[in-house]
Amino acid sequence: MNREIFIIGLNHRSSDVEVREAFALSDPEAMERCFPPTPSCSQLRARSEYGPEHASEYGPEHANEALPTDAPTGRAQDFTAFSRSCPVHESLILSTCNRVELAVVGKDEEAVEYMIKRWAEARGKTPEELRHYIYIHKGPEAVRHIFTVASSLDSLVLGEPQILGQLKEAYRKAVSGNQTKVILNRLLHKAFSVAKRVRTETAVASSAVSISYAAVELAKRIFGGMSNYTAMLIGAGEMAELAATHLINAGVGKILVTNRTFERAEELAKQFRGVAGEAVPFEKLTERLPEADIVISSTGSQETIIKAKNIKDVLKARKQRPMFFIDIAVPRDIDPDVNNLDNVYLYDIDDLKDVVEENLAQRREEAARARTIVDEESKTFCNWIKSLDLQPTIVDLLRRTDKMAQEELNRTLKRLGPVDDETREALQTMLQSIVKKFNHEPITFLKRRFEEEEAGARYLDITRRMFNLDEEEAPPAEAHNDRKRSVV
Amino acid sequence: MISISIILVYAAGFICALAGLHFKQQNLKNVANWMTVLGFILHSMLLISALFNSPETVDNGAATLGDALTKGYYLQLLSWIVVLLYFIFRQRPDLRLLSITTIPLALLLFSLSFKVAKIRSDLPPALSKLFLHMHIGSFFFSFALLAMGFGAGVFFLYSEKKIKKKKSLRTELPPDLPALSSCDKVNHLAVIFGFPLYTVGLISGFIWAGPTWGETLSGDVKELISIFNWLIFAILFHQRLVKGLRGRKAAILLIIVFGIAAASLLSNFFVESHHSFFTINNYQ
Repeated sequence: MNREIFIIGLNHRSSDVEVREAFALSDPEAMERCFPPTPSCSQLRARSEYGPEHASEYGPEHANEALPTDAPTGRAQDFTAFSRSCPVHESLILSTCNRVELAVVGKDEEAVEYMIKRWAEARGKTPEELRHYIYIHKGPEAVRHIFTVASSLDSLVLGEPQILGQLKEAYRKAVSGNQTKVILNRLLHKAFSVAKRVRTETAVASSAVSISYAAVELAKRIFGGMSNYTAMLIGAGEMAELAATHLINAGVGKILVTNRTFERAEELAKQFRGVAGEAVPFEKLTERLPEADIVISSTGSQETIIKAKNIKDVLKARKQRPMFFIDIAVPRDIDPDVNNLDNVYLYDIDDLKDVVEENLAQRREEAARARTIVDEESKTFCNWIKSLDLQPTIVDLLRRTDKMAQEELNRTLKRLGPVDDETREALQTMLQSIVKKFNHEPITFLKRRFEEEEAGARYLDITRRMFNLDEEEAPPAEAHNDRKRSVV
Repeated sequence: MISISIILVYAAGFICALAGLHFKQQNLKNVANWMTVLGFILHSMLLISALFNSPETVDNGAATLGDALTKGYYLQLLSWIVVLLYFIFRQRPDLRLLSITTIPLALLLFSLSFKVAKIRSDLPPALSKLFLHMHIGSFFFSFALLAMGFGAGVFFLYSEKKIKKKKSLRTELPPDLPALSSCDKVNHLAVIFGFPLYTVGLISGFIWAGPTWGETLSGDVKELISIFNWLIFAILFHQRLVKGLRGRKAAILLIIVFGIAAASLLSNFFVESHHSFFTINNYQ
């Protein structure tokens, strides 16, 4: 069966943010317009029973949804005929701020042209405009591309895991819109498991690649568990907010917030969930500083706020318990000499940038290993696609049943002891005819179903699974739900 | 031979631990831990069985338990205490790295015990026996605590230097290294329990020496070293508890105290004195 997977897309490498914005499909309405029309089974049946003129009975919104927007000749058009002629069999739309990707299963390039047209029209542009920016992958390339994207090897920040969640969401939307069938279902499930494999087998997603996360990682190396420690945020801007999130995730015990405008500090302190937050007036900063084990400073102040000589007294008040200062402000808020004091550690934004840069370098190294996993998995997947054709399936089915018969025959002959050739031949003939008769019905059934474009792949897949022609291991119990979804 | 198997098991455990660290294999680390546990069980069995088989008991069934242990036995006991304390500290997952300093030490002490395995150490009359046990017991525990503090101190100094100098977390601070505060906590425990034990060990030694040797201070080098070391330990104890000394300086002081204590223990092999492992004590 000639079915091909295509990827049509644009990403942060192929186009600028203006272009990505212009062609984004994250808006549900735009996405809806881009998806090819898929009448649900009940609607199709209804139409054939009552005739197309009754379609309006299903309400205007249903009718509009089901009707192809680029065939505005009205609902009188034979809908089923259109659906059959639609070159796209399956589709999925992933739209994030860094990329728009359309995964399409169709007979040939016609499907790609069709989707480009729909995509451009969904955003009120012409296909020519769009074609200028996009890349198109076909077959094995497309499979590798989607695995690469899912494993976040193609992300702006290498290894950042958000993309996997976004892909899952996109898949969920496609499924609820009845846009996916056998091939995309399997492709996406495989993509999720490849992403998981990459995460567990390589370090591509480990180590901090954001400033505030790197700071919290460092704090862990100094304090170990964070639950008994107090953090203080000086300045309540966006950076402070982000740092607070990481601190809370790391399990810090308490967070003090101070800011020149006290209201802003109060506002931020109220937002903390699962941890005690307290706003401190800016004048009381030095007074309350001894309470803080971790100090994150990010004010816009032009001069230093914390000086080394002040810290000496603070340390005395703290009985020399260690302190970790993180200065992410430019110009710096904390006197660099603070780092020379015993039991005090100071990192400024440049130090943290170095940490981040180095971790990114490590991720790049690991990405090479991750790519070999992706290559390996896409090869396996392409083999599966190839097998999803009538001829190989019949061959596999016959081979498997033949093998089984031969094994059983050998076993029986061994048990019987020496037999004459006549009996042996009779047994063999009997087995062969059983196998032939047994296979006859399923093969005719498959051939007949294969005439119908839609059902063919599905039944082939079912047959392959039912007789375990791919000789896969039994899936774990929890895979059942996934399976159920992809079969239906 | 049980002693050889103990050495082999400890050594195998140590090698597994190193390999586990190097290849980042949790399985190897687990194997290493089970090896150490096995070694510790064998070690305990050896110590207990030695109590019943001491030469004296065999000679005349009249002697009480543990009356005539060899000097080797005491070294094996010290080695056992070191491993015991390691197991206690190991309860904190991030202190597991202590194995790479304490197990070799235990192994060294245990192996050294064979050099003096046969040398009898007959105990003196009843009252002074108590003081001798106090002397040896508390010194041993104090020594084992110092050994833990030493390991933690080395880790502290290493990590602290890397953090202060802003070295790469990834390449120069392996995740197995304990956090600075964990190291400092070990230092704290080693000081607050180690120093009183050291003091008890020192005092009971002098009290025992009085009636047994006829002079409280015999002026042997080991005694002088121990008093000197006690003074440094006292400074550390005082500063740590009263002045809140912690971190780098505390780690350095403790490493010095441990170094002197270790040197003083080893001197028993080389220096001719009351403490020498090669003199047969005879108090009759």
